[in-house]
Amino acid sequence: MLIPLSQLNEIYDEIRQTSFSRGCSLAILVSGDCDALAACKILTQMLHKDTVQYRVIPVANYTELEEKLASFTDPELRCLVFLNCGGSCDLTQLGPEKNLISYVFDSERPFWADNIKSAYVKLIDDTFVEEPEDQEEEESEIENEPGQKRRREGREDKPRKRFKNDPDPTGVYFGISTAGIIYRLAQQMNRATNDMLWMWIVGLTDQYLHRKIDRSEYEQRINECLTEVLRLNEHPYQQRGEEAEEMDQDSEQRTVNGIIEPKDFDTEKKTPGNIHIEHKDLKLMLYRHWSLYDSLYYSDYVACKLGIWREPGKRRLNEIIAQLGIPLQECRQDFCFMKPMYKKTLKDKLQQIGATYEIEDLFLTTCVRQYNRKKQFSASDVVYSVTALLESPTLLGDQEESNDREKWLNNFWVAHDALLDVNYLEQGIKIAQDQQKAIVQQGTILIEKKAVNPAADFRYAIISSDSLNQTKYFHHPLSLKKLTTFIMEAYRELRSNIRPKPMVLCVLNTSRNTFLVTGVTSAVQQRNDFGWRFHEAAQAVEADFRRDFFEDTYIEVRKEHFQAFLEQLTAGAY
Amino acid sequence: MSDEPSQKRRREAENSDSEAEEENVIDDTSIQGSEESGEDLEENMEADYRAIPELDTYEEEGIDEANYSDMDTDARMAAEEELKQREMSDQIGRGRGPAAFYLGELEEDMNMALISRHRALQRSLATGLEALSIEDDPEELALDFEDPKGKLSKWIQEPRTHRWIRRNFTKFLLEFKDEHGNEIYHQRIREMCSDNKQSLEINYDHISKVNPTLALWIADEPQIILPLLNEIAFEMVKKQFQEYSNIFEEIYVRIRELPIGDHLRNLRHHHLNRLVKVKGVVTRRTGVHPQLKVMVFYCNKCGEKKGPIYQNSQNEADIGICGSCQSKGPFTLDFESTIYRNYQKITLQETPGSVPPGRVPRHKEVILLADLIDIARPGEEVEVVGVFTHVFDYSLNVKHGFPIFSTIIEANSIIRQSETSTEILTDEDKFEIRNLARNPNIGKMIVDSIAPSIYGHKFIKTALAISMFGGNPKDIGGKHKIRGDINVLVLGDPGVAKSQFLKYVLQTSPRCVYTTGKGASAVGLTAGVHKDPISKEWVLEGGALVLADKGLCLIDEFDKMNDHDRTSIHEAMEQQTISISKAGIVATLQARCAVIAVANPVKGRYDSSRTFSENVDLSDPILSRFDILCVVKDEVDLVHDHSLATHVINSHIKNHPDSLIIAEDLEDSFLPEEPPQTLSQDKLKKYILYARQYVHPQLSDLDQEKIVRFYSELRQESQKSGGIAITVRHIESLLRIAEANARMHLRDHVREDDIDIAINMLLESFLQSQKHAVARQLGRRFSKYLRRINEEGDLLFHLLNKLFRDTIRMQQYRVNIDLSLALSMGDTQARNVVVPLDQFENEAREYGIHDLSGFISTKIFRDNFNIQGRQIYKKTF
Repeated sequence: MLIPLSQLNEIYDEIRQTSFSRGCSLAILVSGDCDALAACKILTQMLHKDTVQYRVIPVANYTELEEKLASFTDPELRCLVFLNCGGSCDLTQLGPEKNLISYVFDSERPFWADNIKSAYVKLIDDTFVEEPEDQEEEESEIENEPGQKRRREGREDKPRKRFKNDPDPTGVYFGISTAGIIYRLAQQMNRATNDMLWMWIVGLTDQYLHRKIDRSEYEQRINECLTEVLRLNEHPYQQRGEEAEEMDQDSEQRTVNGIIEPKDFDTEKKTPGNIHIEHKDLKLMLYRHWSLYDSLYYSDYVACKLGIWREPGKRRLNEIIAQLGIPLQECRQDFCFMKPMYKKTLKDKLQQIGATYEIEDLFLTTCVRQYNRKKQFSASDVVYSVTALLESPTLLGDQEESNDREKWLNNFWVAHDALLDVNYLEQGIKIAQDQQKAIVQQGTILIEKKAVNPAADFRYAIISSDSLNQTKYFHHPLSLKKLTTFIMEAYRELRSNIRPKPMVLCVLNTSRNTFLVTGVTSAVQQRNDFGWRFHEAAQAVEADFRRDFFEDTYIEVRKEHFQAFLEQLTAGAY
Repeated sequence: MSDEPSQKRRREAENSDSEAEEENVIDDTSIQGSEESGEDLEENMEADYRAIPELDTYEEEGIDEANYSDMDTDARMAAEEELKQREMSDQIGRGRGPAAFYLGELEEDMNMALISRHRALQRSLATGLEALSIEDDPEELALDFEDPKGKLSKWIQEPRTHRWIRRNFTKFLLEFKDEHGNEIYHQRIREMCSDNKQSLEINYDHISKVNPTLALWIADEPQIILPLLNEIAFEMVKKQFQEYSNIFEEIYVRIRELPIGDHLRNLRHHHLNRLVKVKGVVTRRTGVHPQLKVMVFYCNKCGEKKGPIYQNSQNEADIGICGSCQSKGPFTLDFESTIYRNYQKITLQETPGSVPPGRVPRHKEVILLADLIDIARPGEEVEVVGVFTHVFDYSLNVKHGFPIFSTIIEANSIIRQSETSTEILTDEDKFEIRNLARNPNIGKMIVDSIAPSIYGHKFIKTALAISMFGGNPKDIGGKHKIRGDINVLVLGDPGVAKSQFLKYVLQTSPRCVYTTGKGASAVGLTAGVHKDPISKEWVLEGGALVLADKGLCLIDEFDKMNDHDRTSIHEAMEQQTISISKAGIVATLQARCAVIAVANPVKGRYDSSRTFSENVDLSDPILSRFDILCVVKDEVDLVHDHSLATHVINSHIKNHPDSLIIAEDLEDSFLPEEPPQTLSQDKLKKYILYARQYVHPQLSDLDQEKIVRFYSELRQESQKSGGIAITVRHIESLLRIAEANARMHLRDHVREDDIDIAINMLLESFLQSQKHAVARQLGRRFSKYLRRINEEGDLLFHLLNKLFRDTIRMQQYRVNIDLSLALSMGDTQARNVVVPLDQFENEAREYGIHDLSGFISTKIFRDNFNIQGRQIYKKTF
């Protein structure tokens, strides 16, 4: 059944109630993405305070989820909380069989139809408004999404062989971020803290950066965050304008004496843990932790706009830097060591010259958090870092584990800790930088080699060897998606006269002997129906395939069947 | 404004006589006016003509060309009259102020004047644009700037002349177009800024074409005019790059291509303070010293600061007396607020070739400032454009007893001879080069362009081309470097134009050093330590290989070199460094250069019946360091000799300096093939430069299996047959050659066909080193690696046929015809079936065939298919 946002606290109470007088009655299943991690962080913090026992179980894909669900034998277990997973797979059997109630917080839409009907499965939906009576709920559902409903009914009697099968042909789209919902819960119970708020912002930024929501939706939702930020944080600059100016002068004074203390990064005035709003933060990737040059060079947006992989593109970048009035040498060193006089005017100048170089869209409202006295991270920095940690091809920490699963688990916990830990975050940022370099490099190779082929309504490219060191990054879904997006954006700039086409990218994983395939739509609002198309194509040629990832835009096809699959996919498009 | 002179001329033609009178009248009235208003006006006038940047630019912008040219003469004259009067009244009005007001407060007065003038301008803007558009004109009419009154240096220093220069130079920078219509100075400014440089290069030719007066003045009074030009250029830069002042505080105008060059020994007193161009060899250079630019002093008595005082090379800064306590010092330099600049001296010696026989070369000191520092190294030949000037030398006066001066040159721009003007690639060049690279035949064209006067020898030409382009050096973890340069050894009989090849390369390659085996010692090739006669210190001196760093080193008569000297270059050829530990100096010099060596076989002639090692007197270590070995045999072949002889004769006739015969008239019929398409040497040079600078091919997914197999087989054979030893170096060579070939096509990635060519090269080089009999047998064995156009052709033919079949079938499905019926109709259908060339190219690419032009020109294609535009039609019979 669907639960509206207004009933969140009731749900929480339910969970808490069931846990009384029991051992560990609650299991939290968390998928491997930044939003889910953030949501998990908020939820566990609250449970911790209420002394509710819980288990956090990371799940990477559907197979794993299925295994986990099957392995629950603990009689004390009553509740399952799903974070960014479970919404689109069949959970109805869990209720009657094992007497488990599932609470699903999943931003991926649409939900699995049967889940909506089952009383054991509680789906939290932000768009759902509760009707006065329970009986009408289904009807209201029908009214909301009549087209989808009908299709689901037709499918009702099909034998269900797999845990997760037919995807929805209309494609996937995304609702409000899970961290946002959980924060809403904390808010309703009046227990929101700055940490939780930060998690919300991170979750939201994750959705935006991974193209789950578009710009306008992001703007709209970040505004909700901002009021909360203002509520929970003190802002010396806004409250005491004159004093702030004096302080600026002070800081300039100090710079003259040889101590570099830039105005924007004035650590003295910001207590650790404080969040402040940056109304026009640069959309450059990780620029706070990179050199400005690299950040410009490797940011998807700038790289695509300038065509950075060619000589004229590099020249234009140099020109832009000259326009900014920053010496190249200065620009190549770490941003935090750049002279404050350059930093101070950077944004204004970028805005001024943006129009002439057609890179206007450089600014974004975001929040920045003071982690400790030295370090600041913006929400996007955290997202990049945490995602990189999750998908890091190398083993983090000092454990020595071998198999994929254990490696993933290890990375998961590191990423989980990194949300509030500076050391891990910095580690993640290094990986994110390497990953981004790999993306630009690999993208460049594909474009330059003209390996991107056109099909009727999309383009596709194949990376069919993993001899290159960088290919290892793209065996992970999110990185692969980033690369796909990069190539698509690059083509949008290259062929600006033609309507942008979606992009499909296939990468060979020799150790698994499979191709991982993903598709990205040309606009964020557009529903991504590649999951369905992949599925249809794979079934048509009877390929051995797996659609295991929670986000339904991936497919893994066995190498031997790949050629047939690809032909079917491209032919199906004609 | 753009066609100022022509308008002037037109006007003169229209009212030739009255014009002059009118002018006189105007002049008279203006003089009268000033006389009327009294003396203080004269003082004021100076202020009026002071350089006012805002106002000047304002005037520039306000000028409306269209209006100006459309106006008829009368109206213009009237407007001029009006303007004159308004200005005069303005002056008079100001002149009426109390005289005391001006005294002692000159600065304030100037400001006032500025403001009032500014207001006047604003008023004129309000009254109408027509009036403004000719605002400049009366001044120019009244004063012919091009005819200096009095001494030129004084004239130039006058504020109004300043303004004239400013206006004209700005116009020049803004509007100058070269013969292709490119606004090259816009482009140069952009390039300068994006590279974060400080030097804006100005061609003297360009200025003298547009504005001969200005050009003359630059040559005659550079010391006054150059700082002004720097300033103007910087303003221009700031217009395009508003924030460039954050990066550099000033930029420098560098004058290039001064038409007249002088010899060092011919510099005389009349060259003093003029711009001169001299050539010479840098023999010595000092360290870099800071030189005072802006000084601030404080008075030791009262502590008052005095300054800033600007120091330039001509006059020593005059401190004078302290402003507050009127004492004459002593003053102490305030180190903190003083600004320095870099200063270096080099000694320039006449080039040995230009010294008259039997004389000792002379030398002169040249001062380098700012970003010219370290532009040239000792031993390099440079061309200096600079100001010839004199300095007071105390020791000389003591010696001679009467005042004489020593002379130096203050460099304005320095060009190293090794980097000639082709080193600068304009945007247009780059565009052209990229266009050239789109031609699929570019590889062949380049190979054909290497020494076009030499007939045949394709293999050597290819090897040289590949060596000139070079592979990519790799640096593993910053510790282990793998060279990217490709070494070539050409071994051949006498008289097969080996040395000619070298000479061609010498002229074509951007950076190249030529030596011969006998003429070079070990030290001369690598590096030596010697005692500097002046400083009495041991100094390192780089040899040929060091000088050829990042370029090519050509060694002729390699076999004549003695063994000791030859072994000294082992390190340079593989490690690309030269280590030296002599006389307390332990150093490693970089020698990242490719070596192209030429040698004769042991007994003068190459004997095919003997093995390679018997033919050559070179040790294995050195042979394995060469990536490509070319063996040239002078074989007797009637047809070949005939055509060769014709070629030689023709080229002698053609290239005679007094030749009147047009090249086409000559009978070239003996040459079997049509003359190949070639690039001119200059273009090729630029192409190589571009490729080496901007293209860095990457090795990504390549057919590793193929290379591995090839290598192991080749190695096996080399063990058996006793040619050159195949070592691991050869795998590296193979990759390097592949990279170089990709670079030749300006590709950023190495493709399958690059690898094929590399394998071809290596194999060919291996086979050439074998005995005649063995080579044949081996050639058969390795033929599978040599890709043939025929095989490719068959594959493509098959592919194209399949495409046609598919298309026909698809059409049939589309129109839903019964299949059997359709098959019978096949032929008629086929007539309208079209396969787009793009589709064919795409399909072919999957088989690793990138270039279809070869196939399209084959007979089999022409017999069966037609090509129209980008569509392929099938021929029906």
